[in-house]
Amino acid sequence: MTGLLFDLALGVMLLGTAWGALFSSDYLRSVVLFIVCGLLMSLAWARLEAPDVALAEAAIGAGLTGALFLRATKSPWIKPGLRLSAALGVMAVAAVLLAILGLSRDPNGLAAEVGGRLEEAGVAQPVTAVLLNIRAYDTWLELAVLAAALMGALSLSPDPPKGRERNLAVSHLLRMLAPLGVLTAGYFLWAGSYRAGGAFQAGAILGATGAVFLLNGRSLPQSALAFRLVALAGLSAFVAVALASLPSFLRLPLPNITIVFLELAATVSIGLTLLALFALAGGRDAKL
Amino acid sequence: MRSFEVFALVSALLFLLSLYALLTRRNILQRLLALNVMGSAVFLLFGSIAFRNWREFSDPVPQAIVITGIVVAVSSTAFALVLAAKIGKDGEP
Repeated sequence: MTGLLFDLALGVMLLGTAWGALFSSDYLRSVVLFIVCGLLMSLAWARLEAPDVALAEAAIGAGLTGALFLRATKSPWIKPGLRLSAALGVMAVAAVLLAILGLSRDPNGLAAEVGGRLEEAGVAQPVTAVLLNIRAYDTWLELAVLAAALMGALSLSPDPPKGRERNLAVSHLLRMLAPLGVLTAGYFLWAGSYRAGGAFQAGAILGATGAVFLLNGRSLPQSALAFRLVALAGLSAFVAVALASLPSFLRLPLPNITIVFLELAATVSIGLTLLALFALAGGRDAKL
Repeated sequence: MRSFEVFALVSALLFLLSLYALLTRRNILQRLLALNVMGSAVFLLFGSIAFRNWREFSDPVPQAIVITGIVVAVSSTAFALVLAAKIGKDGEP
């Protein structure tokens, strides 16, 4: 009962913060409410017994996306839509969405199926097993999407953003904090094989650690070969594993050592790609 | 009413709110924000539908797909923001 009350309160707060984020006239206020909404959303995921998604939502959905929006200061305007037709369209969709309340309990979820194959998947944690073994294709193509976004962003803004002045005290602090960031990312990566965590969360933490350096005036060496190699490491690792298992081509089950290799490569390239996207989305003369 | 029904309903309302905002806001950045809220709403709906089948552990396949979706959403948002900055720099579209 208290659980249900908590969920109802959480739902109301989600709707309230989303309303503020969507309809506020002040852009900064919108973004801050969006971040709050994302954090509440990760609480909702925790309530739905999905800690992996809760971590990813908090780190990437709320944190990184919010930081990206905070960095975007130029706001081009476009013609307003037609309010009446928009409202009518929304009402039409609402009728369809009401159908979700009629959903019955479906006995054919995939939990039992995954549970049965966990033995051969090489990882004790079901979500990691699905991400890197049972449905490795999805993760592979996701890394391709990340690489494509990075290429698009690089081709649109070829000049690296100018580094700003460094704050000496912050630089000193960062020198102490950076190893902790890397350590935390490593822990999340390792924890992913038996509890909540994994390559995505670890990559987001690596990216965030780098972003703090970026905010203190460092710039990314975007033309360096090493930068491009590391950014493509995850994708290349998947291609390499697929080629090595050629007659079967990424068929189940992958051995544990291969999964660790894939996760490690995915983590560094997710971290670097997110960091580079963060740098590029700020534009050349972005104010913070 | 059970928990997953609360979240399913909330996600439907979130989706509708952000769809309206997406259609009517004039600022491109706020439209992108609306698109992101819309994505989170769809993920939450997916998650709450999956939660109906909860047994010993919750269904990992929707969770894995949502995590994938979150990363895809952030990369497309970043690319869209780069495009928006480009439009803002080159003048009115």
